[in-house]
Amino acid sequence: MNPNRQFTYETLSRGLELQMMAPKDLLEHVTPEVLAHHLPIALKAKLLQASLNAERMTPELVIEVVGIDALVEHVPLNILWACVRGCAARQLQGQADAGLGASLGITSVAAAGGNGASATSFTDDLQFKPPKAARPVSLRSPPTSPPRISTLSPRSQVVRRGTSPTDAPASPTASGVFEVTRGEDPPDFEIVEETEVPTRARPAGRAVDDDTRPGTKP
Amino acid sequence: MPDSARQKWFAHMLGVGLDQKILSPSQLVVHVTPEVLAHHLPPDVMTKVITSALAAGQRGEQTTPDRLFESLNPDVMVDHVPLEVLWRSIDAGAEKAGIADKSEGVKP
Repeated sequence: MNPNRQFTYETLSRGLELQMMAPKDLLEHVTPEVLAHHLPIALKAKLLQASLNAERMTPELVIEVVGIDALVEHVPLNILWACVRGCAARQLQGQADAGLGASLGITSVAAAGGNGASATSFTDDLQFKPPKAARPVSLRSPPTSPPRISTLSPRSQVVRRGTSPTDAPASPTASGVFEVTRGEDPPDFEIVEETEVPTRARPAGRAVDDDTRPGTKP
Repeated sequence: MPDSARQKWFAHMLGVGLDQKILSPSQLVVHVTPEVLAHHLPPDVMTKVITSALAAGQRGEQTTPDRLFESLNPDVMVDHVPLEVLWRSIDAGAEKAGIADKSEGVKP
């Protein structure tokens, strides 16, 4: 066996042995077409017979029956090396992910069974993030010239029902969820479904009032 | 000694590659540069490298990549040198030997 084939053979067989690659990884590149083109007739016959005997052809069976030595002997090495490249990339990526996890303290969580005492360093970091309830909620003053176009959707329409901003005060709950108080008084607005808003033709030559920014408009 | 399957696999590729002349120390040093070694080798390993180089110098021998990697076997390299760097060497060797297609290589 020439050095190139020997090197590829060693790389593949050790990779399989160490479970760095699986038979299905090999079969991603060593496709049935490759096998059909490059394996000698005797090996193809052996593979078919073994599959018949096993009643199922699997990547494991292919590798077992054909063997790494025969693959290295008959399949172009660039195809086999493509398998190695793919598996090496996955391993290096896995290593990078593991390193990232370690830097975030995730490994200590895993070592503690997911929720163990070692997880405190990780959860402590999360405590620096303010809870949603502590975040300021900005309330807009009531619209002055209803109806207007909502800033949430250019086709939504706001219809005023009350005149005083204190009719239906809105406030965040303890859980931080913003809710409109539902008492006897109806809320001072309702959002009409977009599908219910008819398309209005805008008069030509008139400026479109889509600019919802505060301040004087040009 | 390599303690993970990943490291063992890379060490094996390096070892066989060097044995089969798919890789050479002069190719390795293209990726595993002195700077990389200086960054990643621990003091005890670096001591061996420097001692070996000094001893060779006293014998009037040149410091060559071969000499450099004499004291750095594959097991030691996978223990300390980033595997991405070693993979680039291995893949480049495979390309040069005609095993692999030309490629941008693996960029983890």
